Amino acid sequence: MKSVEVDGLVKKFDDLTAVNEISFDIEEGEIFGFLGPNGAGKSTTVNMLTCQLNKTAGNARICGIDIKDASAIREKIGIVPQELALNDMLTAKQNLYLYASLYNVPRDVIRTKSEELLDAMGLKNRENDLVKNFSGGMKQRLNVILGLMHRPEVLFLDEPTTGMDSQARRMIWDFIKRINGEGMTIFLTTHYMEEADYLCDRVAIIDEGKLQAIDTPGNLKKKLKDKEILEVQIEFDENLIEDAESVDGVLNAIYDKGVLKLFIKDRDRLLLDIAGVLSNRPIRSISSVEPTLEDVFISITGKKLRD
Amino acid sequence: MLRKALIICWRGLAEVWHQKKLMVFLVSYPLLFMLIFGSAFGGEGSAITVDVAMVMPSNGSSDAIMDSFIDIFENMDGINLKMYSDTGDPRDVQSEQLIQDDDVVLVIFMPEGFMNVNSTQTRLDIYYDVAADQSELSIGMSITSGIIEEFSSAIFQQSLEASVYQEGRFTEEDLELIEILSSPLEADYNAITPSGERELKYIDYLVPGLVAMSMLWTGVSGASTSLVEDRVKGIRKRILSTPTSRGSIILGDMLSQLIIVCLQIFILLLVAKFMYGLNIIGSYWLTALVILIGSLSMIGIGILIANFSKTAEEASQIGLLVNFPMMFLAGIFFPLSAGWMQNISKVFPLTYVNDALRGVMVRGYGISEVRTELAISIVFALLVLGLGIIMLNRSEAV
Repeated sequence: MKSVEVDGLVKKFDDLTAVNEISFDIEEGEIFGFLGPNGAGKSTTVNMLTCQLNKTAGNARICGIDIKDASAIREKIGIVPQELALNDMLTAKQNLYLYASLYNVPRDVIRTKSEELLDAMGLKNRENDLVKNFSGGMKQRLNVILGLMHRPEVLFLDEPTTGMDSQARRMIWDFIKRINGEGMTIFLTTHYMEEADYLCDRVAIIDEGKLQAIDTPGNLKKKLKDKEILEVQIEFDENLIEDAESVDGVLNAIYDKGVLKLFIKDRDRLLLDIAGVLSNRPIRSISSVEPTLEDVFISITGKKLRD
Repeated sequence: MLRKALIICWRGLAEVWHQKKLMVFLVSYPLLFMLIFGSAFGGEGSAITVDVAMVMPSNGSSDAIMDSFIDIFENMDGINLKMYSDTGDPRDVQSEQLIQDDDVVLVIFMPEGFMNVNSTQTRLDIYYDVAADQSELSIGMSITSGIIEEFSSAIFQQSLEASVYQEGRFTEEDLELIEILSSPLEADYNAITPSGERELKYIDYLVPGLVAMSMLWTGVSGASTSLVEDRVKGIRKRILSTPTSRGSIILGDMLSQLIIVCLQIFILLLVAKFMYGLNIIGSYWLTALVILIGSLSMIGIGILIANFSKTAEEASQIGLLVNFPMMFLAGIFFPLSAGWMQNISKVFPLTYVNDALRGVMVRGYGISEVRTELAISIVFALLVLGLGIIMLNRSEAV
């Protein structure tokens, strides 16, 4: 049983094609990661799937229902937007009551469900406080459970842990694992590679409106195995990237936090060439590293997810 | 749909309820205006004199007893007596004319044959202006009825003294006579509701004006800023992602704004009633209807402004730009004297709401007398609400 089926979905804004014929399926009970740099078409895709934006062409079905049938889809899905769309002047409990009742959840279910969710997010003792007085992390946790009151079959999470400290992030991750364990399909957009790596059964990488790769994190990393990654500790200068990429056999060069990252084909032959090109610069160290999901992403899109 | 609208409405009210400062502000600022304007222009504190008209019988007959009765009125502090003679028209017509033209509060008709007051019961016809300043009216009434009572008992005393010298017991007819003698002078009070134009007292202008002001500020600013805030924070989008129709959201938001505006006006009227003795002369239902229509058109303006604003700050700036000219040029606080001002005022929807409100509250107009103002207000309300809702729908079209 497929939870989400996307077939040749297209969205055009005037002459800009934001989403260009993407197709993928998500199995029931899967945690599916949706990655892409800013402006790649992530949000546009999610907005179409959640009936917040009309498609230009193609088809998509959620739980077997065509996305044209917005009111039926809305009952099936939960949405956790990236922006903290909370009613600051209501209490946490009232926020839950508001959205739950808009989802037609019966009163007694609202009571038990909100207790359960507030408890799971460590907000139980603040349930009657105005959201205005919550810390950023507390707001984010409340934001997540607002989309869950009606037990959706598919949950769309848009960057749920942005800006969180690692402890709070771990709490959300465990929570996502738990609700997924109860059978909920999760559609997660994120720009934290470790998050995608830790949580997702499969990830899709989208860039410039097209789907560039889709597989399990392990398989994606394996594909990169025939490429190698060199990390060079070096001072930055204007021509560094250009010089590095001028070496034949260097596929891609990225500089971040004092480290020049080179995606190369054949280390043994290239090492000398690279050293030669960079010779007038002081190199502190050169090391070969295991590819991470982030490296996969960079090698596919040529960009970092977010600076 | 209605159930969802009520949930949205509850949310709007609960949010305001939790903003204690806003609550205090909403309640206090019309009251503050009432205090400031009421005491600055209302003439509180200075001694009140009441204009009373005394209409003499047309045959011009006069006698010593009548003269002494009139003398008491003339020498009474707080009463400014004006003398007229009966024109022969019906008394209520004469009274209404005097109330409107000469600004009197009470009209007393002297009966013919007043000198027979010690042998037959004499009745005075008194007409009073329902729409008069309440303190003037009550002072005028109490002085007048006081004089009549005093005068009446003095005459009774005299008659009693005269009859004591007569021999024998009182017969049944005597008892009847005594009853008549004990109150030789009686007054019949008749209310007059003036229908034509006349100069209004400032306080009459004030309360309907403050009601209009509440609509204006709370309606326009409240609706525009709360709608823009929902949009900016993504709350509208989030609510739309639930199985809730746009219609329910708009209805619910409108309803909560309407309740807030009406509640504020209700508190204002309560205070005006118990602190300033406000008397709504026309029908309460008609007053409520005008308030409802007026509030809806102001909320409609707020929705329109929300469509044109990107941030809540921008909305409140545009709100100020709309509200200030409307507030001063709709004749809320001062009767508009200059002709060009009156012409400009015709542009503002609040002018008609204000006129209708004042007509009903102060002059006791019925629905037929304010139908033009009411019709214009309804058309305007439908127009702005319709336009605002269409734009709201389109701006966030899925």
